[in-house]
Amino acid sequence: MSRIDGFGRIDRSKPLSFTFDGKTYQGFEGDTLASALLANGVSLVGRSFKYHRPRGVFSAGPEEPNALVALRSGARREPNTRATMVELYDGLVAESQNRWPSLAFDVQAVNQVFARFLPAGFYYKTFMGPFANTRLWMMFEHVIRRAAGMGSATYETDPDTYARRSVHCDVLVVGGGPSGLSAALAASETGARVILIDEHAEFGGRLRQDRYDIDGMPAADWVAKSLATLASRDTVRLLSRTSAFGYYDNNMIGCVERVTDHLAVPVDHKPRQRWWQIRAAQVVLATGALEQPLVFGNNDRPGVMLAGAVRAYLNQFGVLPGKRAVIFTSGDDAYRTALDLTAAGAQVMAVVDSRDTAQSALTQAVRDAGIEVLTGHAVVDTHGSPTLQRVDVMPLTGGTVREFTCDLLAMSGGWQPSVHLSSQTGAKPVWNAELSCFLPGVPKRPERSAGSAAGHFTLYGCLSEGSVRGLEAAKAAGFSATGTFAIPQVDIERFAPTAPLWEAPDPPPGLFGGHPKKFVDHQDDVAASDIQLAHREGYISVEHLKRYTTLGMGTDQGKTSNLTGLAIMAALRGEPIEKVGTTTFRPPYTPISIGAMGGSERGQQYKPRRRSPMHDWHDARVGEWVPAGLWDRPRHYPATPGESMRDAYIRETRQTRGSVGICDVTTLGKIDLQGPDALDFINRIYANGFSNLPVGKVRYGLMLREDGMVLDDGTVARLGETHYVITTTTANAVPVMAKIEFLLQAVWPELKVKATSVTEQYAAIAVAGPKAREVMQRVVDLDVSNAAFPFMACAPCRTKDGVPGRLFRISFSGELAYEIAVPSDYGQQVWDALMAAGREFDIVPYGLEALGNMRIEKGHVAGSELDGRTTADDLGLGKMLSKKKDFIGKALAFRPGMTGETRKKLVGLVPVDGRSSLPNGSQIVSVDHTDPPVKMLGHVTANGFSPERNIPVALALLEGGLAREGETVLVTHPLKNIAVQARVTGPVFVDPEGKRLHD
Amino acid sequence: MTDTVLKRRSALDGHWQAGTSGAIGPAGPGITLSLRTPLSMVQVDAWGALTDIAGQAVPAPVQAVEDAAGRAILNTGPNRYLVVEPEAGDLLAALETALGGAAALTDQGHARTVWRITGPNLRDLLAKGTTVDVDRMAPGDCIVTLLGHFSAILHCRTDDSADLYAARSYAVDMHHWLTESSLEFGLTLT
Repeated sequence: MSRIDGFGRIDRSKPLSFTFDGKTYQGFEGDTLASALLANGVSLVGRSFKYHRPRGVFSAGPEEPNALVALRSGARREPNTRATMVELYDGLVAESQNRWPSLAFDVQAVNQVFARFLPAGFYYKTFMGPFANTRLWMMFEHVIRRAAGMGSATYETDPDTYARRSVHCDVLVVGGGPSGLSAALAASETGARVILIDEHAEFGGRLRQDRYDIDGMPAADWVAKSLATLASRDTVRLLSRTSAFGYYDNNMIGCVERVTDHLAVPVDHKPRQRWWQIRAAQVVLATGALEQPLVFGNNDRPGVMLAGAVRAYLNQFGVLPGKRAVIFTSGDDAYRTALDLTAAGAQVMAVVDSRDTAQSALTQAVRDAGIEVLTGHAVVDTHGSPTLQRVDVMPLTGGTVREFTCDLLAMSGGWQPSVHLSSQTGAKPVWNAELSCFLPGVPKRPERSAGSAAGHFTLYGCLSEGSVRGLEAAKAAGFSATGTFAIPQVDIERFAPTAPLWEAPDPPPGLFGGHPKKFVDHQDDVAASDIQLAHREGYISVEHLKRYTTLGMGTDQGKTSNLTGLAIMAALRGEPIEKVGTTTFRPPYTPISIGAMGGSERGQQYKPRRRSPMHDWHDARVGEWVPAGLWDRPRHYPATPGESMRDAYIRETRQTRGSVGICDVTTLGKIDLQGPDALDFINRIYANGFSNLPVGKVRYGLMLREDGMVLDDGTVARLGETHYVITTTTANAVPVMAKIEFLLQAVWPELKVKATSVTEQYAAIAVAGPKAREVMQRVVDLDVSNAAFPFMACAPCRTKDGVPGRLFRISFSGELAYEIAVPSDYGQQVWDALMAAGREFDIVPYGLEALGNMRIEKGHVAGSELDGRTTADDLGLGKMLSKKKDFIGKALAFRPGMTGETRKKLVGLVPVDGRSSLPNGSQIVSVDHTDPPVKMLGHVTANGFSPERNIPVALALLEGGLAREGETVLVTHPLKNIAVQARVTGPVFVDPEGKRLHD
Repeated sequence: MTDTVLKRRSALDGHWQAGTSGAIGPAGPGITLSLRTPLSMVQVDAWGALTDIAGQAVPAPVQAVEDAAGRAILNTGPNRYLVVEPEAGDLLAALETALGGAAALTDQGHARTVWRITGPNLRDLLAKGTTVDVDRMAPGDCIVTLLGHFSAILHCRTDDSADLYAARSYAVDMHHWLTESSLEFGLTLT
């Protein structure tokens, strides 16, 4: 155990048990998985992506490239989880990844031996180049893909829930370190609605991880006091465990809150994660900075760690990651690590500083502690298997190598502000040569960066800048300052100037020549030599460099590698860094789960469906539901268990045509039109005329698009002098309503017409068949005889139970038919009444299949013919287009090419053998020309079976249309290996005179 | 002669399980849902500006009013209102008499399912589905928005109670969304 008494903020009274790779360990509440592993002396935690090199914990935060583990098991297994961000809980189960058979002995580690033959682009150059698009590549790809990748996900359904949440505020502060706390305190004092978020369980940022005093108290106490102040203000919302992953338009920040990730299983019906959409008037980005590693030989060995992370493990978790340490740095900050390690009882062998000189209070304090400081030196190689045992140190200018025995190397290549979110807004980061880092660009949104995110690396800088930016944001959001917030008292730090070291020199060549690999991107195994290779091969733009070497393309998005990689490329190009530029930062800042994106939209909520008022009745009897538009419609109703869909729809058709059938037609669109100009409006939107439609009558109507193609069809019923109700097809109900609203609001605002959808208000039921009149007469209080209520009549009615409704004598089936519309809550009552009245006639409910079958028998067009490519003439409806009036689509409906004999037009088809079915979508070709290239003459749009004719029937769009009547054509469906000879007929197979409609 | 035996069956008939569920805390459920049925609802789409509907002053845009008898008028668009009251008589006929030809009237009494949502977590629940600034929602507000996948009208009645109007055909799935989303606050269905 390497736990140190007197250090850390963990709760030692609450031990927790967890397993890693099957072995049980102990940790404490407040630990992360990474800190608990280190506390247990587990320094090897994973294998690298490409070379399978042993890797250890590298950082203490979201930037972790190495310590990626599979967390939890079974359906909750989550791969590639950063151990540095996983809060420990009792019973936690984690496994290492990318190794086989075990972490300690990994077969693929043999890749290391061949590493010099596996440079960037190796796989593509070797396997893809000569073999691209060959069967061999397909084989290679299979093997390569198996070798690639990191963890593997579960195939089981996630048992947990995810939630969404939208919230608005005046000032959003991203990051709860010293700058963010200061900003939130200052902004909320004005009364502004403030949200402060932090990705960790505890607020405080570096204040949790470094030893500071603020206002004469330990920093942790100041954090607690500040949080208490914020919590006491009811305009402040504090969100911990919440990562801001994306900065979107209109100042919307996407965040994910890990609500119960720190528990084994979510409790109290809480979601595992919550997706926050925060819309902020003003944003303060106090996102901090990320320490950058140094690039030197074998810098990836377990035991090599960021210097700031070493302090984090010590000060936050009470873990000493090593007993003998060497510090390697290019700036002052890592000197703190030397002091903290010494205070914790570790032995600091040396501070290796790449700068020529380092004179500041901090560096002097280290010297005063008796620690050797080697300026102008670099660590050039490391040794130890699998974990660190020794480092080699050499002057930058070359010379004698000194060896230091150590089990910890704490390194610091300076700090890079987390400019990710600001960069996502389109503000290009700006290179600052003095600080050797990129600073946020000029804001393009109402946002500003504060503290170390803006390059203020001292505590005083963070606290003061934070409050200034917080106040500025509140003012910009329209609030005024009360001015009582005082910047806390802290020691003023003055650092010696920084001088970056982008790449340490190679050590003297070994026995067999060559140099150790110097890793830049640890997650993707990209070494400095890969960048040199990219440069040699001409991939010198940062975008090419990234794609060629995969630099920065891991799940960490290069948080600890982009800057160095860029700097090395700039040096190779001999250009300053600002000329080389950066790649673009894109959301998400850190990985987010697919579950959080989906939220509650899964299962029943994935795609809600509209249900008719008689849905439950159907549900008890339906064979299959079929989506129609956004609705669920019954496809068929099996009479006996196991009756096939085909048998059922043919039976339903036969029974309807033989006696009577009943069908739920609620889903058709119904639009109420009222006003003195309603008739004029109807005449404009339909292609046929309505001027002579009397009250109490219905007429079929055809709508065209502006380009003259058919849009939709339906009925227009005149209920009163200035009152109409029109119907649309199920699928087009919403588009037609939207179009009507657009026309009335934007095109003809002068028309006095009001349009309201009444689809939801009414249940609609069709009763069809020779016995329909007898059934309907028993249910409604209206005389429905042919004389009193002829074909195409409509009238208000009441059922004998007293249900008010509207009755229409219209027919889609071609039979004597009525449609009754009643207020939806009465739908079931009226349906039941009709079923009871029809019992004596063996009334049959029919579904969408039979409905479709009967319309095919009658040659009525529907969605499959109204496909946006057909004209009225194509569908045999050309005569409907009014010559007397103007209407939408008229100007273009008569263009050359919109009519004419060569267009594909509606016909009927029957199989020559009288038996074979003619599947939908079949291509129609000439029987005489079957040698390729075969000309396509048309296609089958709908097919069914006519029990009355005892023959399969189909509708088709066929070149030349009815001019081919009587011809034999070949109906082919290559996917089903079908070729059937069919005869072209008229599209009406049943009752061509329409006698039944009128009787 | 017609025997009047009207059997109104709401869209949630058979789908409403009264009782409590979810994480009920010591302070009781965070959300209580009740179904408002039967209701009369008539859309009043006026040809010009109205000052009142049958004696009740009309609400300003994005507002709603409710009188002591429980008749509410929701402003749902320019010169467009939804008049709602517990079903008692023929509201459509009454409004036709009152308004004459001043507006197009459409019966919508069966077109919407209406939930009354009450409880301390009202705003937390709504914020799961709408992007409206629900923290600023005040009694008398009438908001036409999306709640989850569903078009909805929210009528905020008091600080912790609102009526939710959604399309009848979506009622079952809307109800499922409401109940599932309320579990973390503790839910009572009356």
